[in-house]
Amino acid sequence: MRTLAVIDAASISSLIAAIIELSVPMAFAALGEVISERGGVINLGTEGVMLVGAISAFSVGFFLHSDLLGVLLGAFAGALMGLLLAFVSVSLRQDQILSGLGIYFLGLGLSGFLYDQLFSNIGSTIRIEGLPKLSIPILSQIPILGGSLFSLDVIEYSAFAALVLVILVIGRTTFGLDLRAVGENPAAADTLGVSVTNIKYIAVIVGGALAGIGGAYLAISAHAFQAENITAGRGFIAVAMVYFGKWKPARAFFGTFLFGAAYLLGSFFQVVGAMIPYYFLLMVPYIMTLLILVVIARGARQPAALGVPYTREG
Amino acid sequence: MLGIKFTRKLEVSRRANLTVTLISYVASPLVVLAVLAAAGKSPAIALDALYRGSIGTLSGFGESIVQATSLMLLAVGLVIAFRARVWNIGAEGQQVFGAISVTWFTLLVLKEPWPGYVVIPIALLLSFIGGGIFAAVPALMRSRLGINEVITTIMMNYLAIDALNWLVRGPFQDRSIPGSYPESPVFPNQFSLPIILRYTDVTIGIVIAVVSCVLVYYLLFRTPLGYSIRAVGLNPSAARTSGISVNHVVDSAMILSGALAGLGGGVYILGIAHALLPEQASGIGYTAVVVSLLGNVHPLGVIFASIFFGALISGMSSVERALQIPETLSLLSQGVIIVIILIIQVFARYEIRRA
Repeated sequence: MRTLAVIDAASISSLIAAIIELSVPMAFAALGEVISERGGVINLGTEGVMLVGAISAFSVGFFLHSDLLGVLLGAFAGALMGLLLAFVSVSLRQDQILSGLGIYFLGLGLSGFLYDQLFSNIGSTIRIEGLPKLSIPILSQIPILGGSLFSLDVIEYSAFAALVLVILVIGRTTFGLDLRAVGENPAAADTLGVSVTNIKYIAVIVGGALAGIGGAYLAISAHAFQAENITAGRGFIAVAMVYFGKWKPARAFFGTFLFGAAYLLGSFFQVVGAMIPYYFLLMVPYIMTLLILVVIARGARQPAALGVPYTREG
Repeated sequence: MLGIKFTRKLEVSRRANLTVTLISYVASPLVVLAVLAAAGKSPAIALDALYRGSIGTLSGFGESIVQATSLMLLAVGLVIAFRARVWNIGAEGQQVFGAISVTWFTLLVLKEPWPGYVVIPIALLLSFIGGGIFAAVPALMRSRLGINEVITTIMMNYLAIDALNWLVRGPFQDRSIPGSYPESPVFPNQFSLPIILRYTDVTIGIVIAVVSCVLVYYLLFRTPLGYSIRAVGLNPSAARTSGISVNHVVDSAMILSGALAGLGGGVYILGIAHALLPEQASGIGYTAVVVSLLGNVHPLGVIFASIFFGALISGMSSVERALQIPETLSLLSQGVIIVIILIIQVFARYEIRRA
């Protein structure tokens, strides 16, 4: 975390950089959730998927000293969780809410269990290097914004690249068209020869992989790993941001930056020795989520077939 | 995709349902043992510890019932919500809020220790009301604004846990000893729920829990509100057409569900903890979701499922002690059990053929 640097330098530049670092895990998860929900499947287990991504990435980063390989494994683990969710909710047509809860518990337990198995016997402080910042020549010299926006690590750059990619794929490709059709009117899509099941599987698996990357980056950018629940609700906030973003990738993506700012505020007050009790600051992101949902509730229209298992008639 | 075809059965037979439930019961401990074996631990030692910690000894049995008590209240509350297809995931926060209400009353409102037979009923009633109030927020957000209750109830859980952690380090903290733990003062002895099984910690709480299950059964299957709840759960638009106020039903189901969870929190703090501790938020609200599923989302099924799960939890902690393994194993097992139940249920609900 760059919190201390924020206070020392007190510059807007490092403030923005810190917000980006805190937001990127949720931003990846929100992008994944947008894809999944546009295909009609709510992945309520995103929190659990992020946790599994986090422990996978952190283990690789710690034991093999390769954080990037860790992120890859995190993505893979997330995809596997997505596959399981797709099997239960798409093939078996079980309730998506309950299936998602199952995935959440599984991820929560699995990550805690793996942590205990892998790290509980290691006495020394368990830390990893983290990813180096890559400054883009010239652009990073721009005053204020340059030092933050053009001096990120490779995963942070990838987040913005992923946003552009997701917008293009959903809006401009055949797959995107099929995806939206399946989320809105699966029967019609089916009639036109689109394999509803395949599209949903792909959407949920890709969504899981993105959430896995989000969790992976969370663990890696924190340089350390707490035994349990490193995500502390970030996965659920990401799901809420999809509602906030009205199922549009960019809005959901940047919605998570509000929360990055809220987390930063929390750790900032913690460092300065706050007048406000610490636990009230911890509450800020959750209260914000509730308020944002209330404000945004009107006029949001979700994919018509969201949450409904598809059964071909006749 | 798998070359298998699932056709939804029009009518799920009682026998199929029962079989599925029984398989889930047998599968759950097997899952635990399989996870242990995978972690390289001896299943034989585990099985022995599981038996002794759950039903094999009086202390194990007592602990099983103790574990089942609050779980039963939370789970039967969830049955009401789930029957209306209101996905209340907030039992954790609601039970914490119930316990906070009890602590507020016993520590701050009562200036002198009244007798237990006066305080206990008032405290339990307050926990019931407190849990209901805490659930009213997501209930209204869902019914009036159409906001997904899963997200709001989970956010409320985090709020309740942060509030708990603040209270036990702030206004409620026991300051009689310098440098004391983050805990409230211990309640006076007469506020403890009466013990009904000697040499154990089994209190009258288990009676309250079982009676609540029977009352919920009556509510769901013998009253107009119960009928409306089930109607909304089966088909909201048909229910609306037939003149049922869906908003009202959603509100009632969620608030009642939260109230029972609050009562569960109250029974826990008066029966077991005797003080407000950070451990009040132990994840029991999430376990209750699994229990209500295992109980087939039926109030009477929940009685058996809670006792079974209480025994499993109690047995697991003795396994954890015997094999010196972390408690995250229980969490992992719960996740696996949910997924397995969901998969097994398919066999009761669908006809499965090769495509």
